[in-house]
Amino acid sequence: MLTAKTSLGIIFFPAFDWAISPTHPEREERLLYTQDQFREEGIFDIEGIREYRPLIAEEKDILRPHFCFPGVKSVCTDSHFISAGGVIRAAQLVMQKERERAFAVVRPPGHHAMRTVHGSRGFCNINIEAVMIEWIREHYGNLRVAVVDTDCHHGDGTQDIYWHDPDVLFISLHQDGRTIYPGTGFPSEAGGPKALGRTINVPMPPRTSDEGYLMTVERIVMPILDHFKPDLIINSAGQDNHFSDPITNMNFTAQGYARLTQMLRPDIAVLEGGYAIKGALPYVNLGISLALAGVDFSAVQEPDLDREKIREQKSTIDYLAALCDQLPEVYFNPRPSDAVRESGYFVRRRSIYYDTDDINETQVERLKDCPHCPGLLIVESETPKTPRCLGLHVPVQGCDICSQEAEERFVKSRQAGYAHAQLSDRVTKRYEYAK
Amino acid sequence: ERSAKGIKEVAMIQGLSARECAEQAVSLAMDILKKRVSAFLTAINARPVYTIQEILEDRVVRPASILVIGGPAVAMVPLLEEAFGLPVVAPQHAEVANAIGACLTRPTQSLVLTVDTSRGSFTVPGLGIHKTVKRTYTLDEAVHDATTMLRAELDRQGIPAEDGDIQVIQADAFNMVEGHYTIGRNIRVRCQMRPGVITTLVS
Repeated sequence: MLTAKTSLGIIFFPAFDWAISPTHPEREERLLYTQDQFREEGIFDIEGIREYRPLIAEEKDILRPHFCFPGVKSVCTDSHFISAGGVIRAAQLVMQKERERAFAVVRPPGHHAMRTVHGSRGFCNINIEAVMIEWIREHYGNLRVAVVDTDCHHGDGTQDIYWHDPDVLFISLHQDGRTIYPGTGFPSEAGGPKALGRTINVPMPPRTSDEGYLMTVERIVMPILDHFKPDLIINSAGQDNHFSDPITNMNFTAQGYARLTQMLRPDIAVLEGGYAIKGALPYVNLGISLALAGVDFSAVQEPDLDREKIREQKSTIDYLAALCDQLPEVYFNPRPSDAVRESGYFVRRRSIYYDTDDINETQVERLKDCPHCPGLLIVESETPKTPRCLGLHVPVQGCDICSQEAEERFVKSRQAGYAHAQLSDRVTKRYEYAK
Repeated sequence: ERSAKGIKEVAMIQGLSARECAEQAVSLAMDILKKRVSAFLTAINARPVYTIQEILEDRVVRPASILVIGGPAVAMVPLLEEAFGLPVVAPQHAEVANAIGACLTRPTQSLVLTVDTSRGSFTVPGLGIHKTVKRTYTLDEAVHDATTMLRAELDRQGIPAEDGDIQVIQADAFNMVEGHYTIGRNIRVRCQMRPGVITTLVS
């Protein structure tokens, strides 16, 4: 009988009764074949691997990392509360030491959801990793967390939420943004002025396969992780780098994913994208699960795998090797910030498009240049449907001065002409909307 | 007599009085029972579910009273009451309740139908039925066919079935997807003769 070297809890929640629309790639059948694969391979019969059901997240869990306008219920369906509850369950298992590792195989996914949420971007409404990390930091103090996002698409939502956070290291490996949604994720995006070098982007050329991918993990990700010394490693385990994925152009395999997991040794893995529901997900999920549990995964192989056909060209390997030489500098010697400073605040003006829901948001973000903490974050946001929104976020490392300023601005928000105002003060643990 | 003697022998080996030994055995038995019951309840309540509807409708099973049957049931009532802190009832004829139940239980029967519309296959393994169906076959048709076949099978075996005795316990239909496209539906219907008793015994 097989025994797990590392005990593993799998939260498997396929949400068989929810989809964006009947033929959308993020569809109800997405995890059906994975369920069959788990059963047929008897993964839950392995000593040390257990299946758990998700919790249902509460509103305050969502409001810790997010500003939701006009309200939580208007941007979240039941499915989002459950998928967020699934990752909270994963965190509980690990933090309460019931399991050494956990894998949340839940949907809908979340890594394109930014701090401010008006609807769905890239199939994501709520950033489930961020909900989980903030749940952990609320209950276990401000831990140092590393998020390694191995989805094929740039994790722009997670990047946005942790842009100013020096205690959360975000590394995204993805297909080059010049060739795929969301079109971002370049090395120059390296974190805000108070968290420089805490955001690392590794864009890879299309058709990168196992050799190139694993080289970048070994030479870029691992040395940075070794230096950062996180208390927790989270893997946003999107599976759309797979050679059979219908909406991406990479050539990664189930073996590659399993070896990546073995190298990374994440405490918690969270499923993100992955839309080859028959050709990839069953094998990749199995490979990741076995690797997490420390069980031999060498026999996991896709039936239609042809290694020669998917091997990368030499030019791809050369390009990646050069990237491996240069990219660690983003972390170890970040360039000085070019953030714009206006009367005591760092300012970003942005317009954000929600492709799934077709919403255009315009946003002004101000980060207080505070000498005591990473700083109060003030977001003014509007869409044609929901104008004049104000979000106030005091970070988990926040100081009393920032907390007080947030409170004053919150109380005066209606007077100041905002239609919707949300406070999320991690210091006083207040998560509410102005009445 | 004999058990008293047996306990005395065991007690001697342990260096205890017969009463002490018996009490320890009872308390150990209660501990084991409590652990097993609580593990069983945890397993029921933690049973994985895969749809949002099931999560939202979730009911937690928490016993409000205990029924105890079997030979020593009556003797165990006070012990169980103390161990579980719940009202415990040993019904009339508790010592032969299982036997009475076995006599009165209605014969039951179940049937599983699986359909793969991409292959056009229609299978009832329990009855050895394999045939072809058209690609447009639906879940409603499957439920109708499965219950009709089960009723016919019950008739064949001479098992009386009232309307409402046949329950559909699973009825799923999933699209099968290759790349971007739906290539067919995988339909699974499970129905059964509702378990129950044929008649009641008036004592």
